[in-house]
Amino acid sequence: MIKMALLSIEGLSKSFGALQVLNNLSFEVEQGSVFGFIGKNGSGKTTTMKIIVGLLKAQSGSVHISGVPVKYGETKTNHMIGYLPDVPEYYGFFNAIEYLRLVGQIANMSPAKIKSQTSELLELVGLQDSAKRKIRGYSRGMKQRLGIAQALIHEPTLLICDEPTSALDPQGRSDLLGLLELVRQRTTVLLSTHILTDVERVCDAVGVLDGGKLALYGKLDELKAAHRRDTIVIEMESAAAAQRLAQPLLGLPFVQQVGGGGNTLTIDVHNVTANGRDVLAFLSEQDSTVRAYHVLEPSLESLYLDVIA
Amino acid sequence: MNGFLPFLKKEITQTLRTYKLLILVLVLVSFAVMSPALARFTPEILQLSGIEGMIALPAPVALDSWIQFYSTTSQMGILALMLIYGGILSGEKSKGTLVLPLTHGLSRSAALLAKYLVSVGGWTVSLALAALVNHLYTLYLFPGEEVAFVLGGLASFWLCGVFLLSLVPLSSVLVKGSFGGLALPGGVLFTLLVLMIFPDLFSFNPLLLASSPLQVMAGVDEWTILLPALITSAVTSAVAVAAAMVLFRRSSL
Ligand SMILES: Nc1ncnc2c1ncn2[C@@H]1O[C@H](COP(=O)(O)OP(=O)(O)OP(=O)(O)O)[C@@H](O)[C@H]1O
Ligand SMILES: [Mg+2]
Repeated sequence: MIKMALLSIEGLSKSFGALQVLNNLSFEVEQGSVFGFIGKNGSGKTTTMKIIVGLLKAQSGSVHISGVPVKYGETKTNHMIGYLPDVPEYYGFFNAIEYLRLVGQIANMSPAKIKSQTSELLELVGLQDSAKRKIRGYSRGMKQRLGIAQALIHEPTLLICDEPTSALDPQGRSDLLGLLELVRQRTTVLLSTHILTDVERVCDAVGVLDGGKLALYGKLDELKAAHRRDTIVIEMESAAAAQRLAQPLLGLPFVQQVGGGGNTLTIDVHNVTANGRDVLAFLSEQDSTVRAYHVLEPSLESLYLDVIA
Repeated sequence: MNGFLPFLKKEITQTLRTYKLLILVLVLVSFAVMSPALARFTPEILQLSGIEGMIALPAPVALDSWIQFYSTTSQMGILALMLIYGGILSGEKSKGTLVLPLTHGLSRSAALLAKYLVSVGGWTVSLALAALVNHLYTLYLFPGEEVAFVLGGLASFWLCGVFLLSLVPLSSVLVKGSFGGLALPGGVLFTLLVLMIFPDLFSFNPLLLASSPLQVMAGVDEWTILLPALITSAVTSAVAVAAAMVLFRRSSL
C-alpha cells in the first residue's frame, strides 16, 4: 500500500522583517507516522507550525492537509488539526471541563460527544482530579496536559505538538510519549522537540530544520542505515586480550582499520553486511571470551550534530 | 461567524467571574446614591459651614439630582467604563488566549463582535441600574415633585457610551499592547472635547449626548437638537466595529 502524505509543505518561505526564517522549506508527513521536527533554538520550528495551523501567513509556498490547502485566517482545515502550542494560554476563570466544553462547542461537536471526550481525555492526561479546579491555579505541566486534551478533543487527523514534553515531570514525559504512541493509530503526529531520545523513542521520521530548510529528512531507520559507517565494536574480557587480537584482525582481507582502547576494539570493515559474519567466525576461533559484539549505529544525536555543524 | 454563541457565553462568564460587571455596577450605582443626596443637601451643608451669606442658593429641585448624576457619570462613569472594558480584546491579544479557540475554528469576527456586545451589555445593565436607583432616590428625597424620568435623555447618554466602546475593538486591532484598546477612544475623546469649542461642529459631536440630555429634560431644548449627534454616534459605531472586524481578520495575533 502506498501511504499518502497527510501533510505536505511546499516551498514555504517566511521572514520577519530582514530575518529570513524559512527558506523554500518542503517536506511531507505520511499518514500514520510520528514526525520529529528538530532544530536549533530559533531555527523556525514554531514558525512552521503556526503557518500549518493558519496562525501565521507565509510569504510564499503552500501547505496542504489531506489535499486541502491551508489559508491564513480561514478555518476550513481546523477540524483536521489539533494544536498544542509551546506555551498554551487559557482562560484562568474556567476549570478544565468548562474549557474543553468551550473549544468543543467552537469545534461544533455535539454535547454528548464533548462530554464523553472530556472525561476520557482528562483521564488520559491525568487531570481527572483537578478537572474542577480553576485553570488559573494550574502548574505549567498541568497546563501542558490540558493542552494535549484540548488538542485531541475533536479527534483530529493531524496532531501538532510544539515541545510538548518541555514542562513535564519524568513520569509525565513518559506518559506523554506513551500517549503519542497510542494516538498514532488514528492520528498523524508532528512533534517538535529538543530531546533526541524522545524522538528515537516515538518518531519514525525526522526532519532537522537548519538555515530555513531541512538539513536532514527521512525515515529514521533509513537515515541511520544510510549514515551507518561499517564499523564493528567488540568488547573483550581484558585489555590484553584485545591487544592480542588487533594484529590478526588487520590481517583479514576485508578489514581496513582496527582501533579502540582498553578492552574494546573498533573494526572498520569493507562491508559490514557481507563480512560481519566472517568477523564473528574469526572471533569464535580465538580462545578468549567476547563480551559484546555490535555493529555501530549512528545515534540521532551524531546525525544531528553532523548536519548542524 | 463560527463559534459566536459559545464565545459569547464565555465572554459573559468572564465579565461576571472577573467581577468586571460587578465593579462597574457598583461604581455607577454609587454615583446614583450620592447624586440625589448631594443635590438635596448641598445648600444645608453650605449653611452649616457658615458661608451661606455669601451666595444666595436657590432651593434644590429634583432636576438637580439628575444634573449631579449626569455630570458625575459622564466623567467618572465613562472613565470607569473605559478602564473596565478597554482591555477586553487587547488583553487576550497580548496574553495569547485567543490562539487555541482560533485553532478550533472560532471566527475572528465572532470573537470581536461577542466582545463588543458584552461590553455594551455591561454598560447597559450598569447604567440602567444606576438610573433606576437615582430615580427612586430622587422621588424619595424630593417628594411630590414632578420630574420626568426621561428615557430619551438616558438613551442618548447610553449611546454616547456605546459610541466610545465601539472604538475599543478597532483600537485593539490597530495598537499593540495590553492598553492598545484605550488609545483610539482616548484620542477621540480628547479631540471631541476640544471640538466642543467650535459651534459649527457642535451639533455632530457625540459628546453632546452626554451633556445635553439635561437641557432637554429641563425643557430648554427640543430633543431634535440631539439628532445630528445621535446619527453620528450610531453610524460611527457601526462603521468602527465593521472596520475592526475586517482589519482583525488580516492582522497577526
Ligand atoms: N513575531 C515575530 N516577529 C519577529 N521575529 C520572530 C517572530 N516570531 C519568531 N521570530 C523569529 O523567527 C525565528 C524562528 O523562531 P521560532 O520560534 O520559529 O523558532 P523555534 O525553532 O521554534 O525555536 P525554539 O527551539 O527556541 O522554540 C527566531 O529568530 C525568532 O526570533
Ligand atoms: Mg519553538
